[in-house]
Amino acid sequence: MDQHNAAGVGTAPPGYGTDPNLVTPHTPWPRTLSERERALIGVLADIILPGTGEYPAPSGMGITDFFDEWVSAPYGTQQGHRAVITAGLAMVDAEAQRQFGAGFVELDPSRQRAIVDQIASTTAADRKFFIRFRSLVLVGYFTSDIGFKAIGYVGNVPLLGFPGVTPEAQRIIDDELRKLGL
Amino acid sequence: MSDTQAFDVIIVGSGAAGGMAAHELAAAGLRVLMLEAGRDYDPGTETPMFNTQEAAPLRAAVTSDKKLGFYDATVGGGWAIPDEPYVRPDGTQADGTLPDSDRSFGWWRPRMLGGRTNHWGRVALRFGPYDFKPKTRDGLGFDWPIEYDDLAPWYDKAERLIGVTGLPHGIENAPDSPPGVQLPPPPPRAHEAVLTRAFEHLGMKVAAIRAAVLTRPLNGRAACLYATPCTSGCSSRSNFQSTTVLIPPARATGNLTVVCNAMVSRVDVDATGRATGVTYNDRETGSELSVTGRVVVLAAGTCSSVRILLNSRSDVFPNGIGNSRGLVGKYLMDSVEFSRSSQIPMLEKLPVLNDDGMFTPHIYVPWWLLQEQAEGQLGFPRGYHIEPRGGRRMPTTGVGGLVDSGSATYGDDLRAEVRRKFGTSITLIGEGEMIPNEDSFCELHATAKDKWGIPVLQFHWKWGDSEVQQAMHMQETFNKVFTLLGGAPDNSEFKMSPGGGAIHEVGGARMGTSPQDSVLDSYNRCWDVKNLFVMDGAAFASSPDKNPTLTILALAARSSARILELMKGGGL
Repeated sequence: MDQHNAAGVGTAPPGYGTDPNLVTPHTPWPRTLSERERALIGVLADIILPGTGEYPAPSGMGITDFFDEWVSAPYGTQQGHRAVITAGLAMVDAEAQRQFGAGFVELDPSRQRAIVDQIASTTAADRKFFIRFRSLVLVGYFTSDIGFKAIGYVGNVPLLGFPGVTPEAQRIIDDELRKLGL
Repeated sequence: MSDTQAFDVIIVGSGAAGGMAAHELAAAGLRVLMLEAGRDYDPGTETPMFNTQEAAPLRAAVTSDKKLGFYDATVGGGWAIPDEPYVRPDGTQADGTLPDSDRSFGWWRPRMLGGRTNHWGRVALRFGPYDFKPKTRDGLGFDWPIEYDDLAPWYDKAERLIGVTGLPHGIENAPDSPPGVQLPPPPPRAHEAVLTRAFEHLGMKVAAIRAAVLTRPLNGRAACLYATPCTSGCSSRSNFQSTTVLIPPARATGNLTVVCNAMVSRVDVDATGRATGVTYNDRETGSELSVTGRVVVLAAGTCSSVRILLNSRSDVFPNGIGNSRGLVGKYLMDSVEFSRSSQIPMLEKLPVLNDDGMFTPHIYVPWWLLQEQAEGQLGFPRGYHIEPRGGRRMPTTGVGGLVDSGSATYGDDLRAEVRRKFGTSITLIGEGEMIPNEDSFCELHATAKDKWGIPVLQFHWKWGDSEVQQAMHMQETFNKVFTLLGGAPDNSEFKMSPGGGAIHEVGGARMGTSPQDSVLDSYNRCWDVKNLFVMDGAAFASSPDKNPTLTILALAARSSARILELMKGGGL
């Protein structure tokens, strides 16, 4: 399949349709980002949301595949994001070349951070890319099974009964409400 | 399907009304044919129980193919269905989005057995005594031809069958069920315990939710596992879906024949004006078929039943069935659904808890200002209830919104901020009563037709001043609650939703006391065609703040009993 068509340009979009298999889902569109773009996403995502001793960095939990699936989807929202993301990645690489004479991926960490500080700055001329990229990192990371643990979501397990508020939580609630005069 | 095979009853639709009718009539020994416009659907094998976002395309995000998210139990439908257009108030055809205008209308339709009962919100509130006599109370809208006491036994019956949670609170116009009928509700989630204190501080009575979710095993169905969203359906049959609770036992009688992909276009009548059956198009082959039966039940969903009535034109009924006085399609109503959200800093102090629960809120606030309203202190005549949402629920693609887009935060601070804010936002949703008006209706469009050449609906919509005033009161109230709890008021732009946005559309073939001012009698029987019944939301004379499904079930059970009674007495 032609990659441009797969991304929804020109022909009827190959989405999953209005009656997809929900139990064993399948993503019908191919990933379309270049190796260069994928590498840049991994490095940049790890700076935006570093790993911890307990939880992996984004590149270690599949963030690159998430981005590639997302921006390769034939739907309008994702196609809009694709334009912002691919242009932004090119811009980041161009800035790295202009300022430091090497691609972003090849820079040392302090220079990479310098670039990120520039695009993240609240006074930057165009923040579209940073905002969208950061948002997609959060989505990709925290909607994953490992992200559930990292964010503090402990549901989706069968329970015989719903326990309600624990005594510890109730004490905190009472204390906090008292402070609010309730 | 042989067109010579005769049935006692033909039921058009398989959702709350159609499922209940089939359940009651097949059990009584009648030969029942159910026609469903969509495909067969089996929650036992098709429900994505415990699936996570990671398993789904785009982490289960909303797309134009699945407008309520990947896992939503809606098959082949949404705000538009290819080949089955409808026309919005501005003359444009529906394009799959909910229009962003309070003068427009969106029509949510699935194409699956069980219809919208597969994905509905499961909040199951009884109408109260006042809700049946609104005109008597404030002079507006229309009274129902029945009283609460007429329907109470049928609410009991429906609740015993499907299972509904609740506690006896004794709140005015929010009826309790008799002892032994209600299932025990689960305890509140942490944010609900917090909200309860704020609600009570503002003089509201907080009630245990009335939800069509089992907290104990019932009728061979398992209790809720307090996980995995009801809106995706439930393979353990722990919530109410027509496809898990009504259709299987009806099929087990051997008296029910279900035909899917049957798109009914009209009710057929003989020269005397008696219904002889219905005509439908097979969605797969396109062929037009007719079936005959002694009684016809329309339960296709409010606007679909209206459309069938309007398209049932004949020499006897040149304007469609039940429409000799131009009432079919009139007085279409929805709920006034309005929400506001706020991040509540004190919730950041709470330990990590499992807040999944039974998907619906575990508490709600019934309308609490009846007295003030009666004294004329409010600028609107009808009430609303509040459904709170919040807690640590399975992260969705909305998780990106936890961080303010105006910030430059990244790195370890970003991770800390997300972790701190997760589960600390509260959304308050108001569901309010809409008074029927002359400007909100549907009719057949002069030229637009569906794939099979059948005329389609055009909608018209306008909220009355009462509804706007009511929504403004919701905004003010919700912001008071947020402020009390230390959150910021949600000052997003005030605007009304389009009609149909709550997916609570009712009316269009209302019941009443005489054929002069209504389409149906008090048993959902068509005044003009004595062996035709309309059992879905189209029959509603008013649209109280209480979500419609439980009342549709109760009315359908009552109407089905009437059919049996009339058949025994030779009246059909």
